[in-house]
Amino acid sequence: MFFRVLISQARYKWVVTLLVGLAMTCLVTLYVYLNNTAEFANRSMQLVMKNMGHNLLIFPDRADLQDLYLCRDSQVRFADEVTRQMSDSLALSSRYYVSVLQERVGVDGGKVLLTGIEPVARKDETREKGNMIQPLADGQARLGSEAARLLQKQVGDSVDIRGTEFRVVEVLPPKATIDDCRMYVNLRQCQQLIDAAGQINYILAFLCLHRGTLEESLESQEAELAARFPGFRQISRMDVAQGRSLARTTTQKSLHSLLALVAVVTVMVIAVAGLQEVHDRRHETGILLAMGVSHFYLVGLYLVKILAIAALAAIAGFLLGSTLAVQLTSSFLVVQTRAVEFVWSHLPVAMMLTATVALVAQIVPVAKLLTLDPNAILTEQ
Amino acid sequence: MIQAQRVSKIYTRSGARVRALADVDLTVERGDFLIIHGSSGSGKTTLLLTLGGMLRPTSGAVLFQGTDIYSLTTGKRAEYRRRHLGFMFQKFFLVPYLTASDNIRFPLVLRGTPAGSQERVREVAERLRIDQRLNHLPAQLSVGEQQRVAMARAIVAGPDVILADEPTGNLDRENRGILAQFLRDENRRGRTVVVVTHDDDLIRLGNRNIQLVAGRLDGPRGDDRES
Repeated sequence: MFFRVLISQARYKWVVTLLVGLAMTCLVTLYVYLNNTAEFANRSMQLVMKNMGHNLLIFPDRADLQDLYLCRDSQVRFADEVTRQMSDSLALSSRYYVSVLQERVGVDGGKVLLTGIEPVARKDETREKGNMIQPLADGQARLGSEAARLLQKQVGDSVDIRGTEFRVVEVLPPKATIDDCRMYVNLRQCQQLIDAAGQINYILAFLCLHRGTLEESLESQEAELAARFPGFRQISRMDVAQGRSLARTTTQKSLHSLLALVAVVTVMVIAVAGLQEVHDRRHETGILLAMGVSHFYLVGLYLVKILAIAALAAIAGFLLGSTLAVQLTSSFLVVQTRAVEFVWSHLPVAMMLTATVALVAQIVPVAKLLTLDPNAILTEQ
Repeated sequence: MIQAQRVSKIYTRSGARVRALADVDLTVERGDFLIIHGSSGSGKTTLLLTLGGMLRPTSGAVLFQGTDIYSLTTGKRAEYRRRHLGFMFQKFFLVPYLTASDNIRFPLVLRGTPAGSQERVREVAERLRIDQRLNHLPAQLSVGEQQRVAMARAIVAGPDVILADEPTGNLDRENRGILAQFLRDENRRGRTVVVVTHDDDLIRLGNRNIQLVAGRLDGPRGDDRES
């Protein structure tokens, strides 16, 4: 009988039921859409960063950055073992390390930046992703665009450096940085050529967003680096990514403010509808109390009904929000890691959200219900 | 069965104190058909609601089978109403979204006796000649039919006492007759009936009449009997 009364109530005032349901559905739709979009936008951001390549430069505190940037002979070197230690330290947010040793060398009358590289992956990374620096085997060389132009070499040609022959396996597109002048070779061969066994000048690393936002990841990385590798510091090379991240964060905050506003409006709609319903049903409440129905039963009717509507609204809002995300988000994500899809973990959260909103909104109507004077109602003539 | 002992009720409205009942002593015996009449504002409905455990008196006590019902908790008082009383009002107060059948059946469900409730509902509905209207909503019924549904609801669970406030106030002559006869029949079956009314036909049915004047019993005390 309880549920028959419940369903009959909902059907009898179906416009109000629909209004309350729609208000909660709108809230959940917005919530699910925003969170779904944010999740995939975050993945998109990760891929954008990976495409931008290594974004951290790690070097000893004592290094003179002019020496490092200008590749002077006086630049500081340190043990390449440090890279291995960093890759073993899972507390760091960075991953995909590359040991780098560099020196200006003369080749065929010109000068290039001989750059020995050795990618070192973290234990928990299975493969290189994005635009990361790929390893080179012994005897292989990768030329920057300017180095290739200077040496007049292309893929398949040979380059002789201090009696060691390298075959060009790749010529990189111009980037308008000093990297255009580099000739990349295997780190071990480079160390032998310039007599710097076990030495490197700096480490390139890729900062991942697994720790949250870009700012949070950077902050975490700096703290962990200072704690675990004293004597080293880092410089971020991702001003473009930071700009993009800032724009995204701003948009997210604006949209979540909108979500909060919609939540407040939803609470008000439900509260006003609830108050109106308590008023409209005062005669029924009076006679039910006279018949010996408890306040607990009456309050139960209101709460179970609103929670049932909340549950249905959560499901409808989840389906609608997820569908919108799948249909719309895909069209404006610059880079997609994978297709935007339903995130089922949002459903229980949506249920909790609507239940909370419904219960908060029912506080005033239920208080009103409990203070109704059945005698005043029953003696209304 | 029900005793009102020096019951007074004072309302405070807009800062003014209104005495609705003043030291009313009344005894309702099992099987009584008690008529309470009096002019508007004389306190008839207040007395009815007070006897029904709905309205706590400002002073005095109301005893049901020796127990002061206003010394009970709210829950126990609700149980008292559920188990022993059937209410009827001039405005019917049917639940608008439940069919006539469900409206009538509600007290049985509240008492936890849903088994056989459909048969009981039909039996009462047949007596009140509304058995063809059981699947209709109140809005689909005539005024007389609505009042008969309200009457069926009041007696379906077999209450010891029927408390009715102007039960025929909105009805035409024919429906007044049906209701009056029904109340008379219920009383003959042993049910105690307390009715607040201006209806002369109903007044004639009572075995006891009391009149309230400005909240006080006028004339015979509640323990006097006319017939």
